[in-house]
Amino acid sequence: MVEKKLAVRNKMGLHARPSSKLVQKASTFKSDIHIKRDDQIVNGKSIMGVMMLAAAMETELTISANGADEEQALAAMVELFESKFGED
Amino acid sequence: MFDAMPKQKQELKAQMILQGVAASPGIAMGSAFFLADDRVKAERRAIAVAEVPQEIEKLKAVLEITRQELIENSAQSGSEPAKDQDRIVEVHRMVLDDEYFFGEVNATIRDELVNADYAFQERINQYAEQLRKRGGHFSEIAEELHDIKNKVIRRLNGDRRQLLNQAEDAVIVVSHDLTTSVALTLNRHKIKGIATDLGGKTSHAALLARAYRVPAVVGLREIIGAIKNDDRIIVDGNNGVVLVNPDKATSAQYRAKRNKWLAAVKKLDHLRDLPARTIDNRDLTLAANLEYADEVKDVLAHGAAGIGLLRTEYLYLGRDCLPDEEEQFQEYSRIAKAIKPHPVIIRTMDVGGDKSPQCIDIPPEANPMLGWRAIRISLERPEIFIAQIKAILRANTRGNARILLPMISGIEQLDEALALIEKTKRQLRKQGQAFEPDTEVGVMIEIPSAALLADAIAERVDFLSIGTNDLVQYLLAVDRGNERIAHLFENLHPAVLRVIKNVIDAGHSKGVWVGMCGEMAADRLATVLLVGMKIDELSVSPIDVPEIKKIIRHTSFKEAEKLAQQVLNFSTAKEIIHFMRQYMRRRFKDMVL
Repeated sequence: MVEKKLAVRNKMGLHARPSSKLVQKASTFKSDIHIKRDDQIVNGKSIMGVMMLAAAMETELTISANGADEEQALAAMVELFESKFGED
Repeated sequence: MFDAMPKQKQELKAQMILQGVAASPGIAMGSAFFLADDRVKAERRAIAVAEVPQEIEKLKAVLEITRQELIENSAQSGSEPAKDQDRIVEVHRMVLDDEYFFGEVNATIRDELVNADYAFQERINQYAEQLRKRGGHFSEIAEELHDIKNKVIRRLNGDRRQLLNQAEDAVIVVSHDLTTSVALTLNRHKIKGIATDLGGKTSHAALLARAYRVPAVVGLREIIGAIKNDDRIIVDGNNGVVLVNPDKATSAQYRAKRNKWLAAVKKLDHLRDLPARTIDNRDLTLAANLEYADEVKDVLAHGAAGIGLLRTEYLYLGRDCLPDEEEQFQEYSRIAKAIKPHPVIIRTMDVGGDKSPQCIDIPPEANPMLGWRAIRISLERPEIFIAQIKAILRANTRGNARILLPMISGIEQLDEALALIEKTKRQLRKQGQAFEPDTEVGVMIEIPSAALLADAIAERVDFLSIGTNDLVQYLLAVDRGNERIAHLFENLHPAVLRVIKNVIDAGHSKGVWVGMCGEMAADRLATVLLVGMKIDELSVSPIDVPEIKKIIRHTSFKEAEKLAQQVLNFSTAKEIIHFMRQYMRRRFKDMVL
């Protein structure tokens, strides 16, 4: 399993649109992907779960991937956050 | 409010007795069928372990259909500003497709043994509540979730109605509430009894049951939580009791009770062709209320002398367009012809309040019962009113049709409505249409201000009809749909009796007849008093006609007049009810009171 801590960088945070992008991307990987905020852990392939994090800008999250393609999966997730989901 | 009674060993399910309000007489025995109402709220309903897979399948199918529909709808609207819209549709689609969330809902169904729509609703609400608390644009997501929830639950509800209409045998409909708009989508032949959580004697569920001539108990408070689909139940509409999973002895006892009751009803058959005349030869008109047009033959079969109230809402509800003049003309003509030479009193559209049609945009109101409804809509939307009046004036050439104006609260309104009727006649004349220019017009007295102005109203029209359901509700300030205060809704309240007496006297002083078309007209404890107060006409559900006729035919008008004078001096409803119950028990030994 690999994991990485990061902060939400886009202004609107993980609202509906970025959440859907994240889930769509996560779903392309075989690995299990989870996102943790404080003590809440949600499945990265569930839009309801990701939206439920209600992660505003600056919120610290931990992304983890576990499976055959975990390295690529984690890299892709980090890339999404860094690109601010194509917003701002 | 129920007693769980221990049963014989071979009975797996405990017999339960629930007490409610007797809303429609008779005894029905059969299996329970759950039905949700039209408000988008799923009701919690316990399911059996064996039902779990079908609930899950049902939810899965509905999620898939809803998702497909979303995709099709968004494909149709391919316009430019659709980009944002597309993202929203995309999110909705993903939620409906979220197998992790679906798994959570399934776990709720399985672990808590509840229906799919309720489980779905509760899980979504939980998520939405958390998002709402976060505030900002996250609360907008909560709104989106509610939107998705409504779509899915509406479909799951509609599914149930279809299932009912396809059912092989008639069932006992169990619901939190039963609104007119839902009732109109049901096949009446599949319903043999009704039991609801909400409502009192005058609720829509009660009116519906009486119209369909099926036993009903309402105001049960918690029936939907207490029983499962397909449980065997008995609805005792005479005593306001529902029995769940009755044991053998109880079932046998109720079968005997039912046979006895059916025999008693049959005994009233000989009254059918006799007039509603007192012992000392005072004639009353005993007519029937009609909620749905297919009851016309029931009216005649029960020996009613005409239709004292045709509720025309069925023409406006459950459809997305207004009925035009021609459609209404055909409908009113058909009824007028069938009931001729007796009259049919046609009440103009009384929507709004608790009955909202899709075809008229009625914005949400804080107090719909005091809001934009009935004549208030008709006067603001004269094209709707004129089409209806034209249809009635024309139908009156085929039989004996009269116009009844609902919710009149003052003379200005009445004058405006009467002027519109005259204008309508001029239009018909210009068009060369055949119509009856001397069609009688009456006013429904159902608002206290109209009751106080009854003499001024009577001067302008041909008859008055007291609508007690609303009159009592407005006079006593009791919401008749609120079961917590339903006990305060009392036809035999001394203030109600005084107002009725004043209206009857005011009408007679201006030479017009006065009738009554609310549920009070069928209240066995009130009949003799109404005869004594010189009411001219009573209009009741077809099912009530024989027994009310029996009371009238066994009453002396002279004696009733004295009785009414005595009772009008009482100061509490309790005294009046006690007094009348004693009196009626003495006079009519085998009547259920």
